[in-house]
Amino acid sequence: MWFFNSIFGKIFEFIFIPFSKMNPWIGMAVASFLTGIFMLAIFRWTSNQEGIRNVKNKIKAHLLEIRLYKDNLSLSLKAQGNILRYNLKYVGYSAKPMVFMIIPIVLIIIQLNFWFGYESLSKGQNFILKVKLKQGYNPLHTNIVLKPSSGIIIETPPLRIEEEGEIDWRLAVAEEGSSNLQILVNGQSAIKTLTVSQNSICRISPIKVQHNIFQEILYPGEPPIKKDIPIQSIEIKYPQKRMNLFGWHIHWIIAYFILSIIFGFAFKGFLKVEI
Amino acid sequence: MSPFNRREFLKLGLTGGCLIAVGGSQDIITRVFGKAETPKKVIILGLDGIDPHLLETWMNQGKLPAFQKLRSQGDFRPLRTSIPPQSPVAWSNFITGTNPGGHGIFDFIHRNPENYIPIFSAAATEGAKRTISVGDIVLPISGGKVNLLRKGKAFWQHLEENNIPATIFKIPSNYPPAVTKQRTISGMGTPDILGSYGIFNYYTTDTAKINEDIGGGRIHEVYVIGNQVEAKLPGPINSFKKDRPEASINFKVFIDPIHPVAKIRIHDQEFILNEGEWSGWKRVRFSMIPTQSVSGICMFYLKQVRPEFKLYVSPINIDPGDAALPISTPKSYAEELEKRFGAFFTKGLPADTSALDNDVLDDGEFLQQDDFVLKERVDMFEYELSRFESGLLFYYVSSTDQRQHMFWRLIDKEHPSYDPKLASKYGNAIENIYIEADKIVDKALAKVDKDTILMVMSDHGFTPFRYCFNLNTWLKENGYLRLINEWKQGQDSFFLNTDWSKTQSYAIGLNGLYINQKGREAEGIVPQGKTKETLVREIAHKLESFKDPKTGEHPVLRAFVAKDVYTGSYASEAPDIILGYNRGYRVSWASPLGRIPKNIIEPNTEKWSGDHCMAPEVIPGIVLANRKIVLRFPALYDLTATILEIFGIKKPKDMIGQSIFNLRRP
Amino acid sequence: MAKGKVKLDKDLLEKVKKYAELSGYSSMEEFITHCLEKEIAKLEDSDSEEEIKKKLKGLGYIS
Repeated sequence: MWFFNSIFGKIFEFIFIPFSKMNPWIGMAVASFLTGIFMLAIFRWTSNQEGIRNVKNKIKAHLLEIRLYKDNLSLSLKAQGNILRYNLKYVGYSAKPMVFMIIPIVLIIIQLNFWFGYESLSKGQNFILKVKLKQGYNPLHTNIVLKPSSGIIIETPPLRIEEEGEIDWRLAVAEEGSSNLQILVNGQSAIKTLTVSQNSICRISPIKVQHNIFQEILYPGEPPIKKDIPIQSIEIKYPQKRMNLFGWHIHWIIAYFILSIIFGFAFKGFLKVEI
Repeated sequence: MSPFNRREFLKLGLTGGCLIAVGGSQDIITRVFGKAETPKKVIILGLDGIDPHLLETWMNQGKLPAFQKLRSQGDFRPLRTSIPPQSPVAWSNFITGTNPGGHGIFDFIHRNPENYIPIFSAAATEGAKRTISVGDIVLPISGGKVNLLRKGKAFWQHLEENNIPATIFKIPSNYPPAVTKQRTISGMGTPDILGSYGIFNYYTTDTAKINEDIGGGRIHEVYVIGNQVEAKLPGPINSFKKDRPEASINFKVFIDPIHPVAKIRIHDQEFILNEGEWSGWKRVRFSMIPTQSVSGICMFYLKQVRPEFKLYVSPINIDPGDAALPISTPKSYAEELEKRFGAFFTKGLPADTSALDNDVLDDGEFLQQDDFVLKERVDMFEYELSRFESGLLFYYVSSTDQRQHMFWRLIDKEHPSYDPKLASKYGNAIENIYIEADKIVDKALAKVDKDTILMVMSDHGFTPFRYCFNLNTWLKENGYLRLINEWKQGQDSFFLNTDWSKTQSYAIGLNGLYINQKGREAEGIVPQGKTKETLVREIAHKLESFKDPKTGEHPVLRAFVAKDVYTGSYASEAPDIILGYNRGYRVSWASPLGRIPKNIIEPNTEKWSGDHCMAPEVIPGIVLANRKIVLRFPALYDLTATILEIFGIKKPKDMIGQSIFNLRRP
Repeated sequence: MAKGKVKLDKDLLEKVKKYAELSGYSSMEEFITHCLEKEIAKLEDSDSEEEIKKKLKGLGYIS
């Protein structure tokens, strides 16, 4: 799974790195544009273009019929019935491309969340590191050591919450640069990446998870924790990021959907896609 | 000029502390007024409570180089303060250029003559007049509002009329901020989100050592179960609900079983604190009904983890980024500062003196908190200075006042609360804040050019508060106030044990004394006219003659008869006598709210040990300027006249002061 | 509706009767209920004394 995740992740890195120092809206526009084009392409290849065209023409014809024969009640009603019928048919034609689209879109959203969902840390900022142990391991009776790379300071002793099988620390960024956190449990080590950056967009992986297909699909940001280490997950609480739209702070996914749809409609004629 | 935007403020207002729904009631423009270039510029630094004696002493010792430099460039004079010398009164004198008869603020606390109950003098809130009820939800359909009770026109409103821009930063007695297009943010008088002068919350497993009924705070007994503490942060009254319950937020604290560290989880926020650490500002949102909530900001302080758990939460300040009440003009000014600096103290008196007084915070912890206040002020001052180009900038500092109130006991060996051990540790707290103030003056001096007039002023000075004078007890002992049950003396506040049918005079507030006047007070017995006049003079004379049997001193240095000292349209609303206490004496803790203890004089054993609610001649303020001051005994209202003169504005008739400079002289 | 009895002074009762009729109330109960509701509303509008005390106390100058 990690092989697929890392390749997929690299593609996104390749796309976003040129825009990492620019206003996040530029990266967002690029992502939305590519998504719009991608959706159009899937739609074109997986849908019955001829059928859609026909259905749309039929709907138009019946709309015209209603206008022309507005004095004839029975014809009007019949036309309305036909419109409804062809609308349903249209929905039917759209269903197939939707099915093809849904999985790649979910995977794209998961990746985009790494780029637009969180603020990276900066010098002077502190943050919480949460380590959850596997079931059956008590944080009070497990030997856990945290070793951050240079530039990261541990500000609090480990805070162990027995009930939740969790150990928390507060750490702070003393120096900028790439860093990681090494967590040793009973002598075995797991590494969690940490993003400290001044770039306006950068890739942030908040959680590292155990080997588990579903978990790895949801949190594909870094290789999973080795199976024999008794850690369930390692999480860094990054601040949530919002897109600034004239002073309004909106969630990136709203911006993403709206822009993708706009791009999709703008380029459907150019790509000769019947939607 | 852009059209006025109807301000949607006070969706959730405070009625004397209760949240009520109110609608737009004040027109605020969205952009800041005045881009006019002025030939002269004025910077005024208002350092609350700076005392001329201390200032001169430390200036002469070379500890305050910036003050010294300013004195050498221009002048330094003691500044005549207001009668009485309380901050809201004094600053109102400065704001309006009048005496209290002109602005109607006579004390921190006024009274309602209809029921003898103390009331806030600064602001009054009106609830929504019309509401509709849906189930147990009450929805407002007409707006309520908060009214500024200070009357008279503020000097920045005069400047506005003459197209001169001004920024007024946290001047006291301006909550809610007077309607203006100038950039202003309210200071002293601004409530917390409960509508109070500040109520902290303290969560502890050890309630035995603390009196639960303490002023300015709520003590919550909590239990540590499985290394976890569950608690509630109380918020404002939810007036959207019929039975007006208190809104609250549940939060959880996770404690490490061995290490002195805890994690607090409130809403979806989590933060970890070591023992003895402050959290910085945390935003909390109280939900009222699904579409309405009130946002506040507060700081958590993990005082102790073990053996007893102790967590302090500061009074919840109005969130400047999403203010539920009007704190600035334009509204965007507070938001702009919040964006640049993050959340900041909005409550009028920011440092929590009540927490120190009640041993919830110790001296060091209080100073840490006040350092946060000071740092914010300095950062914002630098910002305002950097963009100050024309007109007037007024900037206010509160820490000078609050630290002198709390630490005088450590520089005054005669004070009943003097503690040599603490004095060796914190005895320089007052000197240090003067040194910090000096650094602020230095920043201002660096900005001054030949066209800039810099004035540094305080509203009053400071003096020890060693003995408490129970004014109502004195009235009772002298036959002017009668009790219903003698044996109950000292138990009730609000004159509950007072026989009004035989009471001629009573005292409410910090310096005021009222005659129980027929036709004015609900159960008044003294007829207006000659009888009252004779009684007033008699009481004033007797008060001034009274001697403290222990020290032989006169606790009351001056008993001012209001009609002798006040002029202006609101003079008739004043207390009948205003007391000016002698050095070392002040009204007691109990008397201002109508409690009548047994002894007339008691030692002041509180940490609140320095004060200024004395006779004005005992505690003048200061004025320093980079110009020669020609007026021999300048007063607060003279500074207002000076501002207008600098900008060439004709002094209005109701202003009583005169310019302290002779600007026409080359 | 839950009902309860309240004792009133005889003179007062007479007065209540008289003014209830004069003011056009349909019954004494209605008049008394109206008066009580009005008074209670007044009290509910104003803060309790304790509430006032608490709020003022944060000021620092009083206790």
